Amino acid sequence: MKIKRVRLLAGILVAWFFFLSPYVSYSDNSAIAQQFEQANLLYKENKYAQAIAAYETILQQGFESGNLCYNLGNSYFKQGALGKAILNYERAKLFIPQDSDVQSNSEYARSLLHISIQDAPGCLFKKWVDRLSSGITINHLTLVVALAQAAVFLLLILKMLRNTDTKFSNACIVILVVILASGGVALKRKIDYLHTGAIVVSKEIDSKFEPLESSTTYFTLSEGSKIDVIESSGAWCKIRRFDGKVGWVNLAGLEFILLR
Amino acid sequence: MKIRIFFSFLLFCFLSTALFAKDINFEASVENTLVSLDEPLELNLTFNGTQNIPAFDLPALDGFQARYVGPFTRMSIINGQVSSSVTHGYTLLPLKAGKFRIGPWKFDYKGDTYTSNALTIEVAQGQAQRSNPQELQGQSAIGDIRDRIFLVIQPGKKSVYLNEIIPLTVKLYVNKLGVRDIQYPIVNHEGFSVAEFGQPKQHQENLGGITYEVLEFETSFFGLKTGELKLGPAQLNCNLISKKQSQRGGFSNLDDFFNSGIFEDFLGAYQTQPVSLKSADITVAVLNLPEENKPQNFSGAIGDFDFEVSVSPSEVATGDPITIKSLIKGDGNFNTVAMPEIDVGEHFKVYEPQIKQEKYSKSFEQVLLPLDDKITEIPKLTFSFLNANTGKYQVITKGPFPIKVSKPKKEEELKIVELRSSGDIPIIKEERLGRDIVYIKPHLGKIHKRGEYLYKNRLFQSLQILPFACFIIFSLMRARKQKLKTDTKYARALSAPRKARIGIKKAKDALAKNYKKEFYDFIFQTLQEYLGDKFHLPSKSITVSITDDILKTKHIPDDVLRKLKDIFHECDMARYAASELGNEAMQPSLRKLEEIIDYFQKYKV
Repeated sequence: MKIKRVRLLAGILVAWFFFLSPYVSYSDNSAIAQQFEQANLLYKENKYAQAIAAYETILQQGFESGNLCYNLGNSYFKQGALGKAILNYERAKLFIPQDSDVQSNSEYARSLLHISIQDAPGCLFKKWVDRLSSGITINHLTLVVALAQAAVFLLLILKMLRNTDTKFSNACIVILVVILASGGVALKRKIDYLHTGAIVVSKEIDSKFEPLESSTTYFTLSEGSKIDVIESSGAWCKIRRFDGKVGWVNLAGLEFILLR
Repeated sequence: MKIRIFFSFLLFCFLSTALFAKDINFEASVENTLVSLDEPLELNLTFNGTQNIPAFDLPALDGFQARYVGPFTRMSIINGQVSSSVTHGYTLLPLKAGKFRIGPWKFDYKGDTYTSNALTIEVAQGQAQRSNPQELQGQSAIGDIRDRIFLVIQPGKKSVYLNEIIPLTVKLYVNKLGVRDIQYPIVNHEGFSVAEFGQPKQHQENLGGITYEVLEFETSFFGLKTGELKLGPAQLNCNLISKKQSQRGGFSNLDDFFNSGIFEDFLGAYQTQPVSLKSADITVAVLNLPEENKPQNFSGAIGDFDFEVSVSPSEVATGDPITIKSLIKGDGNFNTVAMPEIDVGEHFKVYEPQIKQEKYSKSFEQVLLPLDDKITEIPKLTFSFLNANTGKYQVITKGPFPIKVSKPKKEEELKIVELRSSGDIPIIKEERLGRDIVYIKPHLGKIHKRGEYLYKNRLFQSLQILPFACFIIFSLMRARKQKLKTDTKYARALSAPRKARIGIKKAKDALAKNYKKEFYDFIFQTLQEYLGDKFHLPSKSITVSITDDILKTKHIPDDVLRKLKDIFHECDMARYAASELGNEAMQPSLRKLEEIIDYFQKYKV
């Protein structure tokens, strides 16, 4: 009976591993890798425009990687397109959030544009979870939340089975619930940022009170500024700045962080 | 001491006389340009810049009879500037209604001729419909108030370069109104950077023949982006003081407190009225810096500057510090002034300069370490700026500065040098690190398909319900188990059909083997246990009497009750008179039992 249970558990774990493997550990595609190396060669030869085209080709084939976005960001940087460079560093952070090179280049590009790093809007708790989850990818955070949820219910079942109510088990449940709640909020914010986050890639764009060219300018956004897109209407979209100010800008001047 | 005071007095008199002779301005003003026929009018002839001019006889005025009232003098010192004036007051009595132009007056004194401005006065028949606050009510009073207190915004220039600092003045004009609690003006300045206002100045100004007390707020601004930008409006909040009214409200009876002057503190007999004043806005053209003749090392400095450099010491050993002090003085936007450029090549080690910025100067103190003894001079320093007045770039070059560098006393590596700046703040030599982007990644790294995220996967989403579902199922099972343990009635009722099925099976086996006695024992036992469990009674106590005692109250049909009685009867016969009961009766007995149990199960009795 015991052997049967162990086999079942092992089977579930193997199935789980195969199911998750595409999300947490990706295989290297040799054809794509070859294209990537060719793009790197172009970069090394200071042919930045061609390197950009080569990196973009890989992206257009529907593949993404942190290193790919990072190298593309560097190419744009060398071309002087700092807004696009920051955009690609932001994309790279989605996959390799703990990479110090991405952080360093992103900060350097921002410093050249005199853009200070601003916290995303939200209460103290939200800012705390943002900071806590800044080094985790969306997939890993999803796993953490799923495991925390499963662990909470498993612990509750165990409590019922053993019919015990110890301080230790209660403390474990409280800790897991805190992890679950924080992880849930962090995951929600990361997903929101993924879908609404955008970077200004033009030198300067005016944010207006209405989605009209003739409307009064409320504030001006400089290249590399990070914004949230709230809604779109034709060629215009309603955006929110880090300080909560809301206005309408022309879509042509910005690019979404999520590749579409 | 007495001698010093005497000479100071003489000097003051001399300076005063010198000042008086320099700029004398002759000005005529009246307190109101619209009067009624029976109302006297006060005419003031003021000589600004002197107190020594006597009164003169006014020539005959058309429509007025004039009477000299007397002189009064005024002297003020504002920011070290001495100003003085003498005003000769006259009372004019209107003789007829109409519009009269009086003046300009000419006055000769000590060989100089002074000419005043002309005034136009309207004399109305009866009660004048003029700006007499005693007569004004409602909207007209407010309109009048706006003529007597208003705000004006005046930039130094209306066409400026990006980052060029321009003076900005906001003037509050008040004509014989009591005003207090004046707040600093707020200027709408989108696209501009406006500095804070300094201490306001107060003076008098004549506009259209009416003398205003003027409070002048000064600051400066510069454009942050190019284009035709709106500066202003300026807004200023203050309180108007009016005499408390018993019957009439608003701004009436304002003349009652005219004589009190402005900015005067009133006592309980007066009330305050908050007023928010707004000036008109002004369009300022902010221009890009000219590209023509722009020096290569131009770093954005705009203004009119002078540049001085000093180098010390001029004789040093290799590795010893040389301090270059650059001082840029003048008028302009010092935020745009960067360290003057110096090209020292690889012969010097250069440290970050210490920068000190003041209102009209900016100094840079830079330390250089000569790295070899062949150096003979410090190269020239170049500072370029755009002169906003001329619109042309200017380049000032200083140096080169000859120096003598000797060999170090000890042949050793450069030591860490501790320098002392002018403020005695120790400076520790720091390594200057370069900055650029980190190189590209050689490998593609982990790759995945675009938009493929775990949280979007349907299977993963479905699996999230699993732990919760397990928890719910387990909780229900546990609750049922708990109930079976604690609720005997429920447990017996639940087990009754299962036990009945077993009993019927046993009876069928006995029937197959034609064991009559065992068959009826099983039938009786099954019926007893089933009814006992069903109605939560001791099984052994179940007899045929149950049909009358319990089942009749449950509204069970008669044929069911009859079948029940028959079974009990047949069982009794099998036990006590088995010979009278044939084997052929067994099958119907079993059927009756099954029908009874089916009925009880079906109708949940």
